Amino acid sequence: MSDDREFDRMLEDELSALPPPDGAVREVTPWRRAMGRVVWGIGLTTVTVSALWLDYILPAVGTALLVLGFRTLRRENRWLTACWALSLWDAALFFLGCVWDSTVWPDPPFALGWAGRLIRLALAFCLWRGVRAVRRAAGQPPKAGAAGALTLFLAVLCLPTLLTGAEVRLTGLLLVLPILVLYLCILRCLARLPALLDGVGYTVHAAPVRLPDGAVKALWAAALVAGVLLAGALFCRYPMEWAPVEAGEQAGLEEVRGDLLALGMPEQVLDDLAPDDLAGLDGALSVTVRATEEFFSGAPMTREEQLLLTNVAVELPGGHWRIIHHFLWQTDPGLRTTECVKLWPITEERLGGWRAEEEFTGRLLYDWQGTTYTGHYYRISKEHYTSNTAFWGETQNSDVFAVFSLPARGENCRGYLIYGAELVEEGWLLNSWSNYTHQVRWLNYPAMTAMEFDMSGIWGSECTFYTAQSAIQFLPQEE
Amino acid sequence: MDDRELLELLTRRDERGADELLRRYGLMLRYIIAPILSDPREREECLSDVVLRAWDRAGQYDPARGGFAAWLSAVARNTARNRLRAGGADRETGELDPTAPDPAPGPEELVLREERARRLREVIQSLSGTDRQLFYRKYYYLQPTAQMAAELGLTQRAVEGRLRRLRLRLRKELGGERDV
Repeated sequence: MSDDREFDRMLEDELSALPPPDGAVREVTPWRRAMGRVVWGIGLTTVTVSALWLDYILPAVGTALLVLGFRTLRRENRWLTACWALSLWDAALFFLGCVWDSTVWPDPPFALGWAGRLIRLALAFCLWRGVRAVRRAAGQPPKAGAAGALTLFLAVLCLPTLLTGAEVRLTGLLLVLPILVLYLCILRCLARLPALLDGVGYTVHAAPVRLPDGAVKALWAAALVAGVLLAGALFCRYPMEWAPVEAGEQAGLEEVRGDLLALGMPEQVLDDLAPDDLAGLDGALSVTVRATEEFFSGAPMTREEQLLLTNVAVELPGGHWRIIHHFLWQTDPGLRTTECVKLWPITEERLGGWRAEEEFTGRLLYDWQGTTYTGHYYRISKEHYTSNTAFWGETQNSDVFAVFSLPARGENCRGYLIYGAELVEEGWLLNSWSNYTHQVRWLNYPAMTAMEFDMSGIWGSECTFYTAQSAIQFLPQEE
Repeated sequence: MDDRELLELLTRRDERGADELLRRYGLMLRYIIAPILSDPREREECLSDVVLRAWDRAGQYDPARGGFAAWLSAVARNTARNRLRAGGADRETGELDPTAPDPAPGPEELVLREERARRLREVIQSLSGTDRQLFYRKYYYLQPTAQMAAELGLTQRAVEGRLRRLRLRLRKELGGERDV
């Protein structure tokens, strides 16, 4: 020990002639590092760059910097203590938001986003008061203009939401550009804050820590990654209910079944029909079938999932028709997250000649260890939405969507949708489409459902989802 | 008023220079002196010494060798350390030993010191950012472990561990003993 002390003394002596350079002298302060983190934290948590997940990564870094910065300053005065508490709340809300975005649940509640905004506002206010208190304690005039301007700026931005009680998005270059310029000016002033306070910063007493900064950063990153992966794995599917198919459920309908088989109805489709749907086909005059096989190529590209899409039009007496869109996974579907079937039925408003008759129904089935299970779609509904595609630009749409998740295990996953229509005017094409969307790549963050992907209008070979289209099209008189 | 104007005042031995020096750098000087001298009265005296030295030696300041704040921090550190050593020597012996050899280094030792300083400079430059900060805080500013840990966001144990590794490395690269 005395040997170490002797060595230390020798270094201390020698350093008298080797003073540190300017940069090292500037670093030796209790304030600069913490304030630098706070300023960077504010910048990174308020700027949104929506590319390459930067809208998550940058705020995650910023949130951690805010926590670390205020952790050092937390014992300086009560305002900075409040900043530290608020930064922890902000981190908790950010974590919740990140985890939420990895699930297929609907958007987080409005209150969550609103709470986050209020916390940022309160944090800016407490920072302003805290810096003033530090200056006052050092015998300097209490001022922190940049932090005050930031508080005012955030308060003004909150006003529209506060007045209307709803989320207000600022749009339009003439409005957004001045706000952006103003915000950048405030950030620029904030960036000068650590240097501006260098003189008074020497009075600050850094608070001791139990966990080193590095450990806090590693824990934060690990918690975010684990939370997102875990929630993504547990909540990437719709809750589905499955039950074994009752034995002999089509009993009493043998004659209808025989007639349809004779008219050319595929046996697989017949087997899968619910008794009510089969009974509704009694008295069929003709059956027209169009079948296609689709390959869902995902990553790695060597794997291919094969989906058989069978579209059936059944003619009934009196100009009534039943259209069935059936699908069957002939191989393992791969990723079993969310699926969606979007229909463009013959009764679409822009087409003439047909009148809608019955609601859209259907069911799902799969086989597992010799037993066939069935379940309802999670939801079948008509959705009104706006999509933006490269081909058509922004369009208003109204389509029927059936959304569901395949069972976690099981083979021959299949299902169908059926609806009725009446031909009210001769000469119109029978033209019914199904669009089956399936996830082909595992990376899906923020989590998007198959239906949201379909609605978005995103298109391309590198997408997380792939949509297979199939249709049945013919002139009824010609078949 | 910027550093250049402050220096002009000090060089002209204008009294306003001392006031301005204290106003601008007083808190920094106190921050540097505090870990070295524990007695509050001694700290105040040391601060007065530092201001006096800056006042006397402002003409020696060479901007080409570094910023004014760095020069001033060197004055403060060395003044405080000299006071610490003087106080320690007084406490140990009470008076100077007239039979003690002349402490001024001979020509051979001067060459050795030059060589050691060069090697030390190289070692400092090769340190990582955090290690370099720890090095200066420990050996130049003589800060206690608790202060270093809090200001660098580390636990005291982590600082002690890093300093131990740093000392081992320095011993290995510098030879360990003054006269080696």
